[in-house]
Amino acid sequence: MPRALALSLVLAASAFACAPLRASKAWTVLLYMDATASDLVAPSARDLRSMEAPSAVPSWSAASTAEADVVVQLHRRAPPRVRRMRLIQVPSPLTDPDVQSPVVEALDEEGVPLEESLRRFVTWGIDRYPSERYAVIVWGHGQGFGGIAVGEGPRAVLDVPGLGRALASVSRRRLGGRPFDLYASDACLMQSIEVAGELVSVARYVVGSEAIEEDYAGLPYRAWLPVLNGSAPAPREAACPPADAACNAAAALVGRGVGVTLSALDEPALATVLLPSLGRLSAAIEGYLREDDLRRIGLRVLLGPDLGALGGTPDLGLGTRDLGLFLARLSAQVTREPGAGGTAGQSGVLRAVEEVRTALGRSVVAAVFGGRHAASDHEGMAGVSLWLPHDGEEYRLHGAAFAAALYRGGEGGASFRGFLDRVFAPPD
Amino acid sequence: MEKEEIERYLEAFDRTPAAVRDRLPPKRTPGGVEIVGGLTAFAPAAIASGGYVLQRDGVRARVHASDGGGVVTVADLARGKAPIKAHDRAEDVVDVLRYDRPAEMDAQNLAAAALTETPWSDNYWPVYLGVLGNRYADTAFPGSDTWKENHDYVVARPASAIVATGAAAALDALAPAEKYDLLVGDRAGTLTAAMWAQGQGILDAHGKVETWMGICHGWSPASYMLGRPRRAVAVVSPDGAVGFRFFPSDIKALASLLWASSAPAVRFIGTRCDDKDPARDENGRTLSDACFDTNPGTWHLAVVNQIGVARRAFVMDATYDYQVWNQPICGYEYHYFNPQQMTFAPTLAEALVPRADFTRDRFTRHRSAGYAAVAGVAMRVRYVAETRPSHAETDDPGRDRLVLVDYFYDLELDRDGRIVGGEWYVNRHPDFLFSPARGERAVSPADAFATGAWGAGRGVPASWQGAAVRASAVGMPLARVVERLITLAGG
Repeated sequence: MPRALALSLVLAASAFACAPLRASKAWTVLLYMDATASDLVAPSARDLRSMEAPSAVPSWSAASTAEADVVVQLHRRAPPRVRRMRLIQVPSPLTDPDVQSPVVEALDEEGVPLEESLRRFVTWGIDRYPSERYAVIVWGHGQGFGGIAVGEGPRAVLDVPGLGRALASVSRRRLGGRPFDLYASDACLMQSIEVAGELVSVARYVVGSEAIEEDYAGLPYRAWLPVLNGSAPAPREAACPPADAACNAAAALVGRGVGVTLSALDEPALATVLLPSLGRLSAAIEGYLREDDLRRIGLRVLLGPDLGALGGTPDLGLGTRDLGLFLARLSAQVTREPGAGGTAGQSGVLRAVEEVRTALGRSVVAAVFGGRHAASDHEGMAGVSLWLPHDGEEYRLHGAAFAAALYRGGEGGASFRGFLDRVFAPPD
Repeated sequence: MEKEEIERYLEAFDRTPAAVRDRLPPKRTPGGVEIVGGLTAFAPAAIASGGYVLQRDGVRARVHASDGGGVVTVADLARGKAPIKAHDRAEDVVDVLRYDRPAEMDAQNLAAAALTETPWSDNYWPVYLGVLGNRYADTAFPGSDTWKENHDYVVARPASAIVATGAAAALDALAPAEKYDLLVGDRAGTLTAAMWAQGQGILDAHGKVETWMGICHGWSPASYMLGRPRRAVAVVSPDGAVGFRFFPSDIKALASLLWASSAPAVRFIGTRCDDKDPARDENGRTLSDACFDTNPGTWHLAVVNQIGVARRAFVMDATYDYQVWNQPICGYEYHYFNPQQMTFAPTLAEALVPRADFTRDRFTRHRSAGYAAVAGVAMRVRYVAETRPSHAETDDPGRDRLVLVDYFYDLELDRDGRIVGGEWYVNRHPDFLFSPARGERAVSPADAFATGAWGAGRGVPASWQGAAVRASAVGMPLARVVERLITLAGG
């Protein structure tokens, strides 16, 4: 047995032996951290240290407390490759270089697919640290609907359907089919309609960034966890009913983000209100285009690269656009037309845009915008993205990959296909 | 470049490196005369405050490349938890990367090269003058620094009234956008309105239209991706009622607008830099990675392989040089110097300093991993600058404005003599390079709807007219119209 692994098991055994018998806590936070990419080692250490380090207030903690457990599976390339830890407050400065909480288990998951690895970790975490509510966070590189936890090596990407399957499996076996209270992606480009659509049945709230986390800013663990673990006051979030602890936790996570773009999505509202409204918007755009085939030119410009005042919609990365910005530019384009609102097609689009905005208001319970997204030319951002091809070629190349996303499949007719097919069809 | 010029610079650099590094590289005419003034679009206040760095950065952020069928903008290149890597590899901008060893470059006589057909000079068509709504040949047009004054003039003398007079001289003096609207039978003047609307939008949002805002990012690629309009072209409106002329400057304006507005994906290297005054070390070396790149090794590989081997222009931008903004490069020559002795070196062998012997290296802690030797380079770059539009009836390379600028840097070579990095000896250096791929076209989304052909001496087809109006609404001319005009103009 490798020495490091043996040592870890000893530590694990002692941690287990010392763990008190506990009544169920309010929260268990399960952080699945894939830092196998070489540029993620330092950010992983920084985030974990931000949870362990004390503050000047003795009762304050961003780690495990009597109210909550903060449990991490950390995967790095250096052995031990996979460590499971229950984060505790460690009385050393925030500037210390790496995580110091004791290892509960050390594993070698060589050859284990990411989906299975996540499923095992979350199952283990629930068994070992039961609580009333569970928050699962997956940390790593993000590729939007392409996947998350993008490390290096053969098991590089956890695709979004795989993420959904892993959580669904644990929900079924350990939670009686109840969805997780909160799921968060601490990775770029993950807060999209496509990703959230895949998680409708497995998470009550979904938190993440639709953008690129500039300089690895990430989630505000140090500000958020004290709210969750009872070591700091937890003011009720304006958008949430007082009794909805999950909503308050999700909104608090977003609200404490500084300099980042984050949002929290209410998944039932997404499924029942937002996705159907998008389907109706697509149908309205089709009707608008049927009135005048040359309007497809304007739609092609709208979907094209951002040209500022000239048109287009900003790309957040990998072809994703903020839904609120898209709506703003679509309605601006329609209202700029001569006789705007005068035809059934024009008024239909404007009505459908308003309906989606209303649905967004119900689905997005919190959002903050940082960096360049705080600028005036990004006014109207919703905090949730969707993939929109820039041109027919991109649609042809990548459309199939997004066909699997729920909202394109058409629960209640919620599909964007008709509108995109029409826009990018050859001229009549 | 003369040996004495190079040694003068090196001697000064050796004495006070931080101060010399920070100087604005002088610009010269091909005849060697230093150009004083007239080379910048930025206002004196913006230059003094460093605000031009931010103004430039905002434009650069929208440049985008095609990436696996998607789009990656310069703004996406933030360090973050996304698998997008900073672009600083010569192969990301050049057509072909054939030589990566200076010894090979020298052996292939690539120490100097110039393009046979230079990119054409044009205006940057500033927003405060109405972009292509600028009646540049109308002697009464105010040409004021104040957008509103210029706009008021055009509103008081609408194009429709001028067209109604039928006077040839008055028609000649219409703005390029007004002529385009007339050509495609757009009585509403949609393209012209879109041009002035840009300034109105900026005025409403910011209270002022800055003089630097324009479409130089469209001119620079258009200047070599599209042929040179060599003569004026006579055209008629679709109903045949009005005959008028496009001058080469009018056609260039439309070409520049086409490339600025339809903005096809380009290949680029470099990132954003929005730091007005980045931290520097004791030698004046910029410590910000984003503002240091393009690495001089990348720059050298790009210039020699693109201009010398591929024989095609590309565009350079230099954040801290307010005189250089999106300039097409059309030639270069380089010489060596020995960075240990800081003296001119007639050959690479005499310039090369093995790593162990480089005891006077000021940049040791910034060097690349695995370099074995360093050689100094003094490169003189020839680029094309903007000119004022005119009613000259013909155009040729003799009317272009060529500018020379010198850059000093060293190259880090590995054991096999390959370039692996380098250090700049000047802070106001090129740091963003881009070019459309060979054969790329700028095409508006409306072009697919413009079917049929436009015959010489006839009005444009009806389908072109309908498509043109839709594209004009967002400030785009049809590529089919622009390309046809260039063909008719002998380009």
